[in-house]
Amino acid sequence: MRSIRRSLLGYLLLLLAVALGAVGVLVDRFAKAAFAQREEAEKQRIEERYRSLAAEAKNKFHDEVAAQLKSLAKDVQWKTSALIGVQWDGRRPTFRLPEAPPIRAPDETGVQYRLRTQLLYYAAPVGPASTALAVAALEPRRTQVQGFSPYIYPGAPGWIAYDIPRMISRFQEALRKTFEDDEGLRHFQISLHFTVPMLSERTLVQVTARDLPQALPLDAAWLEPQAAEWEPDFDDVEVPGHGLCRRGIVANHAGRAFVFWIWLPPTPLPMPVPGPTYRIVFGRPDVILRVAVQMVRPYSELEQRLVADQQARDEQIAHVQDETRRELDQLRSRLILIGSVTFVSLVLGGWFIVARGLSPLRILSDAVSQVSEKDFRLPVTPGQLSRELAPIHARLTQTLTLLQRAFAREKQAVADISHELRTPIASLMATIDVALRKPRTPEQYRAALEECRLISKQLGQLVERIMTLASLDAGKDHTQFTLVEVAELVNGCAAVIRPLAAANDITVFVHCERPFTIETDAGKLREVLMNLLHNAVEYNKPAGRIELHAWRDNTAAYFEVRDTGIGIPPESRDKIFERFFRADSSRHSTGVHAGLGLSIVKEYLARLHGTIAVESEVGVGTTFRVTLPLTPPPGSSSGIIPPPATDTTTAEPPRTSARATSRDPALPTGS
Amino acid sequence: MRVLLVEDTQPLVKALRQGLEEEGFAVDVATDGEEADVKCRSTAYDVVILDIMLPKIDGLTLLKRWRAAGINTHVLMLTAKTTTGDKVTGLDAGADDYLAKPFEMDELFARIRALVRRGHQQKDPVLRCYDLEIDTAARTVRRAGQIIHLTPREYALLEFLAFHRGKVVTRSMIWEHLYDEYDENTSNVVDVYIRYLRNKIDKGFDPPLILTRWGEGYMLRGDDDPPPARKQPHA
Repeated sequence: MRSIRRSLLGYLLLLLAVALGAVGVLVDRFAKAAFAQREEAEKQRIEERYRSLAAEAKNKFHDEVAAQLKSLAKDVQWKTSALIGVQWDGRRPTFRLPEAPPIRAPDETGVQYRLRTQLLYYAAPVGPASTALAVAALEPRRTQVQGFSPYIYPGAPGWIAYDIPRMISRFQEALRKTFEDDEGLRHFQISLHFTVPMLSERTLVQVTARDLPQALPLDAAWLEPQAAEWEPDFDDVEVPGHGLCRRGIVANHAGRAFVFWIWLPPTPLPMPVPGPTYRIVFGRPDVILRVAVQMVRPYSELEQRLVADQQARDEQIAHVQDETRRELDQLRSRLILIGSVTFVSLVLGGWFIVARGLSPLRILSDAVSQVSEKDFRLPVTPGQLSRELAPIHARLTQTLTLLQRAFAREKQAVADISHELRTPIASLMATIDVALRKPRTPEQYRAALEECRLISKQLGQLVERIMTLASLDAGKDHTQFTLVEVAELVNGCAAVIRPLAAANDITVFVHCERPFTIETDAGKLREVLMNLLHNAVEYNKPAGRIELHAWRDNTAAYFEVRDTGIGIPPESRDKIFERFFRADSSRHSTGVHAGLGLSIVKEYLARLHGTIAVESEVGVGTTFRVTLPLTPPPGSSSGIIPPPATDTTTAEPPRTSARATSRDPALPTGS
Repeated sequence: MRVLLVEDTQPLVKALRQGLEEEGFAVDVATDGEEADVKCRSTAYDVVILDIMLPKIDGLTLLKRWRAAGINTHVLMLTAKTTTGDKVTGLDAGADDYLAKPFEMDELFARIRALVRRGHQQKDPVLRCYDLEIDTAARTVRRAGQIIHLTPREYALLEFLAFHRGKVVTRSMIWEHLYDEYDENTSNVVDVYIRYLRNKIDKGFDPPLILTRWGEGYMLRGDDDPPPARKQPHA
């Protein structure tokens, strides 16, 4: 047997699980989307910041390059100016500020210029420190000086040192200072025409030309002096060994100066003589120094600088991703926790609620279990139950009431049956006991035996009737509908009852004017009429009459039994069809009905689809009228076509005469 | 002893009447309540055997009416109602005994005898008078240890005298208690039976037990009546 509580709880939990699951999945999905969006935004923000940082770093890098370039260029210009600004005033060299160089075409004077491009090169070690590449383009335009060429005297720096030691030293010092300002600038080379190491002391290392990054592409246009002072140009260039580098180039006229050429006569001595033995040749200002400084710094340096930021960015992104995943996990675990707590609490709560909801059922069940054959009342009021159970309660109460009545009726019937059986048995026993008390004559024995036979016969009739009712109750009885000739049947009944009536001095009249047939069960109809007639005899008065009428109309057949008997008081009229009921609560000499006759009549008529009505006046008489359908209702039996209807008016019995017959005072039968 | 049988079942009436009469009871019959009421009020019965389901007036109503009217006749309910509730109702209505149908004849007789004894404040079923012993249960009579055979009517007369021992019973009392409604009341029938009884009881025994009170009736010699010193031949 299924438990309502369990199945209800099961459905509830199933529903809950589905709902929780759906909510959980939806929440999870939305949360996931939201987290992903947030993560993406966070990533973008980090990227943006990184990009701005990178751009800033690049700008800074660019600015650094520019600043360095400018500073370098100024230095270079200053140095070259210083270099070319040294003049000789006849006795000793003097400085003079360079003048603005006249711009002239190389061939303007018709003098053959020999253009040589020299590089002033300055290199720092490649590494985290800046790498500056300064290129100065020296454009010496020189007059062909007779007798010598600067190329003839390579590697002759000594004259500077000798002649103008202070200036040289200052120059050297300035150079060094300049280049040493930057931390880590250790290598530089200034090459003039002579490819002479001007400074070789300490950390100076000569770098040959082939190491120079001459291969760097250089647009010659850039070397033209620009309109604005020191406006550098920038581009990116690939430097072998350093990758992509940022290059800045600035070019300007460093100035024009009289270059004093120091002629160094051939010395007779194997070693230079101290003192000024050289000759200074003054020339026209023949040197236009055009300075171009180019500087590169590899992007790797910028990238190195950005490595930290990149790392920071990656770490931040990873952190964001971690955080998102962690929060998602946390959310999921919370969802699971909430779900399980809800589930568990609903299991407990549901169990309780369902138990509480079912408690009226339990009350009802307890109440029902207290019902017994002794007490059919349901010991619970509808107020103690729920509204839903009220119909059940009402129906149950109704059923129990019916059951109680049926039970009481059954009990009464059993008591009545046993009571009715006891009296004849007592008679039988008393008769036999008396007969056996002492020796008798054969005549006496015979009389006793005849008495016993009479009692036994009555007893048998009684049992027969009880059995008839029992079989009717059990539904074992079968009704056979056939065409019945009414007049024949009525007269047959009258013929049977007449001797008995005559014995009681009662006259029987039969009124059945027109013969007709109805479709019914002849045996049962006869039994009905016989019972009514027996009653009419039994309850009649001496010298009374009995009238039996039979007639029909279009719809039904009617049978009436009138007597002039004691009548039935109004309060008993409903009870006369109950079993073992008798109008005067006494026993009668005939004793064959035992209060069962009208019960059997009622049962039979129910099977014949007929009805019975009773009219009675106490002390005057009683009329029973039986109404039967001409044919049984469809479905109750085999259909036999009844004969065509006859005229109904002629079949009407003379009722007035029947009324007039009963006026004697009521007296029961019996002696 | 005179009994009123109130019963409406003819075969039972017939059998009971025969049985009771053969036991020496005088039996009157009423077949409905009204008849029973009339008879019970007009005659002092020793015992009334009363059915409950009766025409016209049922037995219980009848009994209550009698008790209310001060009629103290012993009533034995004889009915087909067998439940305890029915018995309680019957006894509470004033019945002295209750017997359910079907019943044994012997039991009915025994109960009637018991009721008769109770009516005379007699517990011992054996009535004694000098050397006379009347066993009311076995309906036997002994005098000086010798069994004396009596006809039912003689026995009934002796028993009636014995119940009223030491008291004078009139002829009408004897008549009323020993003869039923259908018996012809001839003037000397009681005297005839007294004579029969004397022949069987007193003849050859001493002292004589049945005394005649002239102008009053008869009586059985009680303890207060000392036996005569000399033998007195009885007329």
